[in-house]
Amino acid sequence: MTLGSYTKDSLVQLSQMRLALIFGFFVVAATLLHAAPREVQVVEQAVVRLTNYQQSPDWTAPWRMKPPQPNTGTGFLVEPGLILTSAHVVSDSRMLLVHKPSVPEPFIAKVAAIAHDSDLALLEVGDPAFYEGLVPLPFGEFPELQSRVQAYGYPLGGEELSHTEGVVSRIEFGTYVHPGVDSHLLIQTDTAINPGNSGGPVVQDGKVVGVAFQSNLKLNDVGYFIPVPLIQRFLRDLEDGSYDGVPEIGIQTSALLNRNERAALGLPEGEGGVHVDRILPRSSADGFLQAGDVLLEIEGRAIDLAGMVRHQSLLVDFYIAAEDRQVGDALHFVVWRDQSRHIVAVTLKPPPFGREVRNSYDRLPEYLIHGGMVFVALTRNYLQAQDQLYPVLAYEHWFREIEQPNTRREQSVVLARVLPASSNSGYTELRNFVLDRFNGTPVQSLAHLDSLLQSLPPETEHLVFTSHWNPLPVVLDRHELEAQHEEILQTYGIPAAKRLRTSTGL
Amino acid sequence: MTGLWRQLIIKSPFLLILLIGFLRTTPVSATEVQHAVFLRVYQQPHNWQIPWNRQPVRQQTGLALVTPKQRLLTTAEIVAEHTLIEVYRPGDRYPAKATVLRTDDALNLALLEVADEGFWSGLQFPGWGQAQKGEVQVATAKVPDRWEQQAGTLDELKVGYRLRTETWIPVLQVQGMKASGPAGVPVLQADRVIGLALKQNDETWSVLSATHLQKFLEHTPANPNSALAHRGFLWTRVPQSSVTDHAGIPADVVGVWITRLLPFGTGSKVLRPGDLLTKIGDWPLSAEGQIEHPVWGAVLFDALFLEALKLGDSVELHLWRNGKAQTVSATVRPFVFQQTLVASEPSGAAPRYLIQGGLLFQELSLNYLRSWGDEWAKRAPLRMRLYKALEHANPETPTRRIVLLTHVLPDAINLGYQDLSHEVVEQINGIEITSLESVQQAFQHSLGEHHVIRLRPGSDRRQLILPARDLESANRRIQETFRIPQLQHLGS
Repeated sequence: MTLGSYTKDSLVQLSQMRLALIFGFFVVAATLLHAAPREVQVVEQAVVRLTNYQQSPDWTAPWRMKPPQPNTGTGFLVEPGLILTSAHVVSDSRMLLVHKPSVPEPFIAKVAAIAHDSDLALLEVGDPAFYEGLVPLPFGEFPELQSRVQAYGYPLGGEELSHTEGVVSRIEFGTYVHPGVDSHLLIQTDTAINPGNSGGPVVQDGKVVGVAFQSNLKLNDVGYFIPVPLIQRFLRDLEDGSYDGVPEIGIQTSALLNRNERAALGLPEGEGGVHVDRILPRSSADGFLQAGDVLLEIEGRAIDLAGMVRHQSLLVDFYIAAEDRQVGDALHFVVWRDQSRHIVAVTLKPPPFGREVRNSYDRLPEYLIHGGMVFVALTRNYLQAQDQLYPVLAYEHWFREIEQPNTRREQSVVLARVLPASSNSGYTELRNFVLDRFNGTPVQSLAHLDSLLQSLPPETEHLVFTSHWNPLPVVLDRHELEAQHEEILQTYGIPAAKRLRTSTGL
Repeated sequence: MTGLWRQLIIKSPFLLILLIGFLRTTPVSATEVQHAVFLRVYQQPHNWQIPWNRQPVRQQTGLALVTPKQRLLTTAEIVAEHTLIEVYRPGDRYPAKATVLRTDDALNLALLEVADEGFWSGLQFPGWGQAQKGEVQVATAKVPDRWEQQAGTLDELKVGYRLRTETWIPVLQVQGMKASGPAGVPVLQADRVIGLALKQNDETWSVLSATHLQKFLEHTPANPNSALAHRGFLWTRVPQSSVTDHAGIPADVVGVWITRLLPFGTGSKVLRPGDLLTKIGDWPLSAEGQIEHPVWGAVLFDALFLEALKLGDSVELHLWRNGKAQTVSATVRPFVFQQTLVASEPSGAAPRYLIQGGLLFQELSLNYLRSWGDEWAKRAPLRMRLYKALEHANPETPTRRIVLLTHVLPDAINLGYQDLSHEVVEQINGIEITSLESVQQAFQHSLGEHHVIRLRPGSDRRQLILPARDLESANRRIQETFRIPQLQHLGS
């Protein structure tokens, strides 16, 4: 069990990506219908259709953008003037249209706030006429297992609101496919949810109990929605005018189902608890919890041997206690340490990993081109854009911090490829050379490499790039490379030689 | 050509193809074939996922060369993991039984013995020949009593990569052969043996030369693994002049750039990454790593290890290092199994394993990775693939193996751990785990009442605990429940 830690999520993500379908376009197939006519009418006054013209960068050629394409989804009014939807519906937006029921002309909207970590977003429409006749939907409670819910949305290609009905079949923690690494509470339903109604409300007794957002291709008629605690956490997070993100405890835990293990830890008979295997460096738990602790309680709720706590009538992963918390909030544990119980308070922080760990949206890739040598930052997007899994990149991205935490750098820089020119001849087949040093200096980031290249002493004749993965350096003639630099950019139609973290737009 | 034939051929290209096929493949009386025999081999490969089990029996056929001393020479792959080897003299209806005297996986050769003295009647070794460019003859058979003669053209010596052992072998290329044919076919020129066909890709056959066959037959193995001399390093062409310029090497010096050293082989002890190797013995190297062979022309320098050098020879390696020309002396050394982090085990080697408390421990090997099929590089668990891919990052001879907790056989003693698989073991009872032997030793020293197994960071859990007192009884119970003949196999 590794919920809450990015490690396991990262490892399993590639396979999960094949299974899970993000409903960029969610729709409800057809029939329905146990919702009362009055309830349908209320919901209809809040739900809108969205068309987002998305454009994302080409991570293998980071100066280039892919063609724009329209995606459709659903949103609903949660407060006067604010539409709630899924982040993946409105990510990488170039133009966002909102279609009001029975109004032929769409309205232009903009993203007011977006939470990629929990796949939620708020939209605003500038034209006050849009809001006429629309009524915000109220939030409900956590639905009971087997209780009936209705999902509202717009079928792919359709313009009429439709809804389906089903039951809540499971409440659990799982990976949110949009960010790729974050694991949060999600509710599974057998309500027919199809591509097209992502971002649409899931309703019970006329109140919103969740936002429909993803599915599982391995299972028939299984959809997932984001529950209210996470939605309300998102809205509260924005109250100070900025989004801080979902905090992360930063621990890896394992169940204590084995009685020998419990005995070896000296746990009293009948005591529950989960074992803390690892503390993520720089995380909320770092300095407060310890590897080897047994977590007995969280926020006054007993944690059982499988790591579950009771929530209403359900057993849910103990991380549920942190799901509605904000950065800066305290989380209280009772831990078993040194054969006795201790109370430990942890002040919650954002996740300790950099943004390169998650799927990236609304952000252009960093790169640096020098004499046809294309350097990029190693990110999840770059890794997934490759035609195959490069083991060295996989190790750097997933395992370096786990196996060699002391060798962590601000950013992993990769010599991704070489744009062929006579000055770099002989290296044109080079791919994904993980850069450690440039002319003997350890490279901390792309910006650092850029500054090193800009401040070369005049007497420097050669550019020497080294990698601990390769005993031999890449050696180039500085003057030949510099002489051809502009010509290479022109030949390959590259508008700018670099886009770094300090540049506008990042 | 008569008008009728011309008409038929023009109107029927299919007939022309048939005719060409007929001309290239001629039935031959079985009794005329004296230098080769037919093999039918029953194999039962080991099951590396369930290491005490074997896979279903399968059958393979091939040929073998009759050697000078009444032995049979064929490929190692045909006889790997055999349960029975049947040999048929050409035309015989009933087989004799053969046994394997020795194999060489790197060369892909096996030497067989037939105890029945009568078997050798009518069989004869035709003598060794020196391969030359030109026509070659082979006699092949798909069944024991139907032999046919084929001809092809030997035109090239190439250095091929043998995926199974990750070694390079110089092979003769014979073109224009019939598309299919068994492995182990003796190849003759002027009625003399010049090689043994290892495999056939379409109409091109890869043939191991008689020089190597003789080396194998004469090899008195101090190293039981292979008679294959190995260069012992990886190299690349110099990418551009800036490299040699930066290294202080004159622009007119030609050679290849040493990129990595392997833990075995000729250059492994004396070369360094970054050396520019210019000459091996009296053979200058081109920028592409070729030598000029008197018969075959430009060919990769690996061919030297076939032609001019044999194990134990001393050879001078001329190189540039630190801006200076140098000469170092090296001993020609062989390919050696099991000297890499994720090693290839010799074919037929039974998987090593150890079971304690239902926890199945195995060492990560190429054989284990291959149990995910031909596409193991895509299908095997990521972390294991990483170890394989990354082993070259550390060219030193590894002093350890990766020990995996590959599976858990569910039992009350390991309740809570039963879903673990393919985790890397770091320590047991405080002892660092570097081999299955170290696992065995670590279980001799429990920490008080418990055995504490630590997995490497990044595993699904870090720690497993088994009760020391109950372990033996649990082992017996698990052995019986899962019908495991032995709880460990640590033999090589």
